Amino acid sequence: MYGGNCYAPKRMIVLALTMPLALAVASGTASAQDEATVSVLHGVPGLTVDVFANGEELIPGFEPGTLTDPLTLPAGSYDIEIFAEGEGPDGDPAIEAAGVEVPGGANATIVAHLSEGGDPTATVFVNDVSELAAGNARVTARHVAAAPAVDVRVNETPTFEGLTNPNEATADVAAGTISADVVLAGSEDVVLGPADLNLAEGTSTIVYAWGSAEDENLDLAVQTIDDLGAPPNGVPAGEAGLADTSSTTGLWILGLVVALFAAAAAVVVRRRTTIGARH
Amino acid sequence: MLTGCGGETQPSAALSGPSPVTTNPPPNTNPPPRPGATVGPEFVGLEVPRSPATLAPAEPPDVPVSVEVSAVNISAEVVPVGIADDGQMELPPHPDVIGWYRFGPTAGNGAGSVVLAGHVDSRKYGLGQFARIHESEVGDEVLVRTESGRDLRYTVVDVRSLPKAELPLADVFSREGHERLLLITCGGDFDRQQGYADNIVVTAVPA
Repeated sequence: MYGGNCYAPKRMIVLALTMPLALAVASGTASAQDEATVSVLHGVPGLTVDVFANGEELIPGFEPGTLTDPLTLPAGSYDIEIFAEGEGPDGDPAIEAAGVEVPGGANATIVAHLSEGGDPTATVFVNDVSELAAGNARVTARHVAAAPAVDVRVNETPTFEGLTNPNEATADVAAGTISADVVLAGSEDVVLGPADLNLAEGTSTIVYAWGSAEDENLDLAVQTIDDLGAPPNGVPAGEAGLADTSSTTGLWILGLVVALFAAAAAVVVRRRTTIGARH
Repeated sequence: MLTGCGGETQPSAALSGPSPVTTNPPPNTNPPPRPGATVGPEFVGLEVPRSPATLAPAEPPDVPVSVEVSAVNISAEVVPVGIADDGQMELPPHPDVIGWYRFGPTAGNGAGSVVLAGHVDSRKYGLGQFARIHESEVGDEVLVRTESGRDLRYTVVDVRSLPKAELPLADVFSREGHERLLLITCGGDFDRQQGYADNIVVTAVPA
């Protein structure tokens, strides 16, 4: 299935293939009645474009490093054509992808980017929007740069290793701020970062490495998806029973009071006895 | 309901303007013919909202540092807390210290449920500050001070006890709707195995 649906418990790393567009040509009918949530990220440096879907202009004047808000689109098959600004729809597209499957009910990001070899291409990533456990955040790294395999390091520890274009790795982690950088796979050669990422609780943070190593314009792009969190599963706010309201403990407390009273009385009697003895 | 939290918002439809009613469902044929456009006409010519995909600077929240309910003689320090290993809200061990659920909204944020909870008691320290919370009444003032020195005043609108299993967690910890302050502790019958049966929940809204 789609790499974006990968679900990883804490500390476990899952490397998953995404669905390259070329392989996504419709193999069957799409569930026609469903809708999908689709964002579009432009990750081809130096080229402002117009994005067309099935012959209709969807995103005019789209600049590199820019992400659209989520769009609600009918699920199904899309022919995506991306033209240098003003050259569509009759010119030669800079990027052409036929039969891009947008699954019903999915949350997906279509990324226009460079292949490892530097050719413009596009990839659909299905975003994992499954519920996060309370206190957790999801972090996903996507390699969409003209660059070789990389390791993504978190706090200088390789966390996603051997990530290649156009693939992704994802993990659910405790929410908090991390320092992430990108190194050439198996090396200490930092090609991007370090950058501080605030992984907010209940939020998915997707980090894209885009651009070209050769052209020295590698960069990070960030997409966040909110409202994936779950509440705590309770508020365990007491442990001793001192505020107990139940009748049995009430009797127990009554018994304690009686016992204390009796003890106090005994002390008094004893004191009197003692006092009496002094006289 | 417990918190009176209405404003459940739907996932935002991406486009403002004309309602994106699907008038031309995509063809169900195989293969889909190219002219069978699935992009509805409602998108044509509209500017799709977009923004630079850059790192958003993390702004630290103005966290609550103390809570007072003078009507019932509560005055307690507040510290940020998260999630305990068992998935429940973490609470400060000392019952005189109140925990603020740091993954939820902070006080004065203007939206959602600000949760302050404390142990009603502890074996080591005895009864806590919130042991008196059930005595508060509708109309009592709650004062929350934040780290930046803001004094935020709330008015109690609801005091109730309900079985822990019935605590509506999604509402209690909701980030949606108007701001409200929830003061939570335990109460009701105590069982050595199960602990307290109930949660005491005091709901207050900005005064």
